[in-house]
Amino acid sequence: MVCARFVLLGSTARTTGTIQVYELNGSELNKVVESEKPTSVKCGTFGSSSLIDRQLATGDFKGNLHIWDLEKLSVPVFSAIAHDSIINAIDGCGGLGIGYGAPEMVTGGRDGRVCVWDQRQKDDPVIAFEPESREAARDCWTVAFGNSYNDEERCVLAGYDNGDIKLFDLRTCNVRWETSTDNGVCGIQFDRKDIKMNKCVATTLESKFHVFDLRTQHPEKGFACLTEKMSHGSTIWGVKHLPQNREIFTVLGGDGSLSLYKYNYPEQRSLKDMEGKAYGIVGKVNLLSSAIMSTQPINCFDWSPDKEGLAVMGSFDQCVRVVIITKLHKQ
Amino acid sequence: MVVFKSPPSWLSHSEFDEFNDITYDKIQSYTNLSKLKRLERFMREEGFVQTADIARQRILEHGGIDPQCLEPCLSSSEVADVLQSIQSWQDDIKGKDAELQKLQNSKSSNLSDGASGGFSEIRKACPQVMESDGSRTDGKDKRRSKKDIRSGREYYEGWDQYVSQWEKENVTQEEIKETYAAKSLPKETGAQKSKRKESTLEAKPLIEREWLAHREREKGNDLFKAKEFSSSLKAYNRAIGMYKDSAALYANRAAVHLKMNRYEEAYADCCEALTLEPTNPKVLMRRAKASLEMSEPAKALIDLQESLRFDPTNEETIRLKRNVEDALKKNSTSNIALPDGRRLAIEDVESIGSETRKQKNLLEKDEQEDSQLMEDEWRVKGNTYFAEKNFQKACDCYNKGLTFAPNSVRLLCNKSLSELKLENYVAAEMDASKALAIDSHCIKAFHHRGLARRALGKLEEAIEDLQEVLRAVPGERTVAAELDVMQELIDGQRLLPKREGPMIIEEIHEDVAQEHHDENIIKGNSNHFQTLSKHSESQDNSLAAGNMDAYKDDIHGRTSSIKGASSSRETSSKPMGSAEASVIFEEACKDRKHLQIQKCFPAKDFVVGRTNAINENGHGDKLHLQVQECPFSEETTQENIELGHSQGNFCVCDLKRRSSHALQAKNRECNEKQRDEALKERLRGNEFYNVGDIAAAIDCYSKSLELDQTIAATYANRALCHLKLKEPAKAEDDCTLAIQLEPKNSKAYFRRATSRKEMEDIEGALEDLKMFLSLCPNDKMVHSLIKELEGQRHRQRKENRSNEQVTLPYDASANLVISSTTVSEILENPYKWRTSSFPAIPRSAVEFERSLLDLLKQPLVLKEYIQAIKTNLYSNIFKEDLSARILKLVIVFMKENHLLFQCKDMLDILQGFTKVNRFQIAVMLLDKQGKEALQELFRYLMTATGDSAADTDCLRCKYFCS
Repeated sequence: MVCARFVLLGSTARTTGTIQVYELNGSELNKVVESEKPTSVKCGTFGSSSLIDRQLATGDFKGNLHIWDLEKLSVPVFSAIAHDSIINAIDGCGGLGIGYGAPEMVTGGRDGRVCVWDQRQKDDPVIAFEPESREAARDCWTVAFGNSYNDEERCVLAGYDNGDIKLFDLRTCNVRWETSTDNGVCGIQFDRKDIKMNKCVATTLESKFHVFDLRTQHPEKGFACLTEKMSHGSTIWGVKHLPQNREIFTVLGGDGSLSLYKYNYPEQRSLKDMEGKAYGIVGKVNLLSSAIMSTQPINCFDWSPDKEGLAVMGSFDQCVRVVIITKLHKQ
Repeated sequence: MVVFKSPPSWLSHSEFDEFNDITYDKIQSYTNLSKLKRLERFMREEGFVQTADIARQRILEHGGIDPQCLEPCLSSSEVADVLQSIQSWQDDIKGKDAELQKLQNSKSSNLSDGASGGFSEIRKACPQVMESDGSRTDGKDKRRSKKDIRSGREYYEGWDQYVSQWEKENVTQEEIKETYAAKSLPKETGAQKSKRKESTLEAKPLIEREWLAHREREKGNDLFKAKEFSSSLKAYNRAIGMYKDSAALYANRAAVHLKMNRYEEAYADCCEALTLEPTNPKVLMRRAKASLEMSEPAKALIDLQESLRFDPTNEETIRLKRNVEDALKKNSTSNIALPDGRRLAIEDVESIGSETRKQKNLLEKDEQEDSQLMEDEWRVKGNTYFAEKNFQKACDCYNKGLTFAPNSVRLLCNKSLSELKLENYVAAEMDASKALAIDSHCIKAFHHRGLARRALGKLEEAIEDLQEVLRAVPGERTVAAELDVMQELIDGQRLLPKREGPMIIEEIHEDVAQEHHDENIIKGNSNHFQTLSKHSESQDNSLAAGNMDAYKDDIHGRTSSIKGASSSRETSSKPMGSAEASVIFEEACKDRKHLQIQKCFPAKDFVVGRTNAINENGHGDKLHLQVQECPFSEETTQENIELGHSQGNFCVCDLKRRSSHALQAKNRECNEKQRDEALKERLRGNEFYNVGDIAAAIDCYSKSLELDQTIAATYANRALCHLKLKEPAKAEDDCTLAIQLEPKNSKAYFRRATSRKEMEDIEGALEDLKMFLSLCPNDKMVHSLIKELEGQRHRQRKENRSNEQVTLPYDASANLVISSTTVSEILENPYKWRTSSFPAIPRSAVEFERSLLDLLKQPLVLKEYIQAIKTNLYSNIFKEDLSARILKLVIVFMKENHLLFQCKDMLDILQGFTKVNRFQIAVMLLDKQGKEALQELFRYLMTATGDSAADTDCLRCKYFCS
């Protein structure tokens, strides 16, 4: 984002929401802006805003989607009622020069819907993927954009509380692939948004994460998957790929640990089966390093797109930490 | 605790089995640190903390790093460095940030001026487009089912349409008429689109473009690392399109071009990068590479020298420089006859180089003179010791010499040789490397290093070194022989470890290649004989004779093969040499009765090889010289000279024969050509295979087989490719063909075994593996594989048996419930059935609820699931999360299926819930349906329990159920 600032979203003790902007100054953090909102804010992204505007899109506990200008936080630039209850996750694409096509946001809510929004179209989502009946609706816990390598193509990954992972294709408007893991999917991310789908990582409750090779889709087997189990035994809250090297990612441990993994490709990424259909082959992940940062789970984390290794993370112990991870380029 | 049913990805099957029945003694017997680490991790993840601790203790005993302590630590200086870098980055970024903010402000102030009016208009126009499509439904009808989603394509198309309109509107200011005509166009053409992109790019401020370019570059780097060169090139192209002033971008693009063999583009990119950053040694090296490939080594040399100036330690550059210099030498010697402008330039450069070198030498000479004198003295002393075979003393002398002249290549070379003789290979290698660092053309040093490395087991590097020697002195046959022997060794080595992973294609020499090969081997043997014969001379004859017999047999085999080779060679254009060889061999075979001549036999062979070479070159008179070189007694030399004479006679015979067989030979030549081409195709196939392009390799092999169907190796190679592509049926066919052609081709057997294994033909695979073992009995891999397969066979049989005996584990009442899943289905897929019947015991309320909902339609399974959870664990599972919904679900389920449960169980369950936190609230919040179900359930329980109704009544009070 060409700056040493980050945004903190959350909820106050009175269950009102708060948006704060901090600036890194040497080894200190200065609060630059603070604003209180009527409802607790759950998630936010800069992904759909242009580099100059740097507008923040947020989702709150009442299902409202807002876009804020950080200079004027009093009135939202854009506002829509996106979901019935909490917006669990939001992701943006098309801004910041990441990905092609229109700047869009995708939200996933407790009502099980996954909606794609365009700032220029008010009130209505551009596309909404909904459960077939409201009774069987599962919480959508996480969403992520990807495959946005030209103006037409774009995909959304969504993870649900029952362990389902769905890949929605926004061009053809259907469910391109779905699978089910053992536990609820807490975090999911493509390794890059703006390239042809390469791979994605999904983290689950019960300390397992899955790496899917999205390069080759077999008509029956789908995508190749690698499952890695972590030793701490608690929820893995999320995964974030290093912007400077898509093979390296951190996973956020429920025991307050931060683990750095590297994905190694197999020698051949796809083979053909007996019928001549290509299927993918998944590589291996190596644990590069792991460190306990907090006594409580780390629930959010973000890399600095400009400075390799610089990152900010939030944890349930109500602390925000700015960390630097060194020697990443040597991996 | 999670018990793995199958090994996790980082553990092999065999180790998984091993770890599963680990004992304390076994752990104590392990010494392999990485294995211990795996064991430790496995045990910890399985929940056997104590075992893991024992393993950890063992790791610590062996000096390993504590696996529990993954936390990295940095030294204070490193921390300071990191903080410094962050600080500098912050300062750097602040400027850019301010710039961006300025832009933002100017933009927002412009907003009212309507400069960005286009943007705000989009918002209004977008829905309009949708409306005109007629696909937009009423705003209230927001929630649509999945099938009724508004098509994304429509949306995107609409958006595209709008943008094109917007663009046109901009144009209207100049040409209004055109716009109206164009409005009917539904979609932009590709050209328009790209133009739009460009114009939007240009409109972006520099700083934003730089940022975007940076991102594209990172993308390109990723793709480059993943060897997706064409897409990486695209990324770099885009980046350069956005931001033209970054040297790194051009440098990276040059690297991609180089990889894609587009040398001219690479050259241009390097030039561009150098104008932006003239001192980047990497770019200089890349440009040198490109110019070398474009056959302009002179330019390359200049670049390389420049590059070395900035980065004198880069090994790749040094290596490249050596290549370039070699190329230059070749050019200047071979092309004197054709002096065109470019070549002249090269000569100029070289002469300038040598002149400067001379000047330098002159300057330094005076200073060096003294030390050189001393160095010479010690060297001579060392050499005399060396000749006396007192290697230790020689080594000391050289060392002393080195103190005076630490950079003397000759001293270093000699020292490395004496170290070699002392069997001190590490030191020898080091010395030779030092010598090479000083003079990268010292052939002796290469040779010594090669020998040392060979002795150290670094075969591949040794081969590289020896190849270097051969390149410089192509006639050095002993080196060539050595090289061949090593190549064989290395091939042998590769066989074992590589089979585990991807198999590598081994080249099978035959016919034309075989000839040279055999010659070389014989030469190698003759070297053995040299030492051996000397040995036998000095020692008792009888002892040596035993050894000789062993060699005799070997040689016999070789001679016959050479005979075969020579007969095939007759057809080639230079038949003399081999014809002679065959005759001489026959002679030699006759004479073999005499021990004396037996000793000479290999020597003869050796000389014959040489004479052949000479004869072919038409320098008969050199023969004597060569013969004299042969380090044998006078007697043998005499004999060899005689042989040489006799060869002269054979030459005459041959000439006659050649003319008579001219026609015949022509025919054969045709065949030969075809075979040659087949060989070429196969070699190409091998190359493709090595690169990883399996399909192309298969094509090549197929072509090769069309030309010549008698080569088993080609079939075997193609089989391997098929295996790689997971086409075991085809692979099996190919292997069978290969085996038919060459029944002793062990590789073909192994590959057929692998393909049969893939096709689950375990019996067949075992048969093949046994055949393989009879051919190569020492292959440990195969032994273990056979064991594995036998185990598999055993299991298969067992399974078949157990499948036959399977009876339904459910009683009659269950049958009613699961009537939808027939017995055959269960039999077909027992695993699936098992997993669906028993979900894991829940750890949280959420999980419990999920399983409950999932299993509602399978009451029997759900009943077992609920009963599997111990009631005293309820409070652990539900903690604070017991909701009315869960309670209701359970109660309703029990009410509806009360016949499945025993009363006692139901009471236990209900009792269990009462102990969970927040139970009272949950009960109070039960809805009407839930309460009714509860009442009914208790009514049933009261009647059913009868005697112990008091307990039930008590429970009923807890549930507030009157």
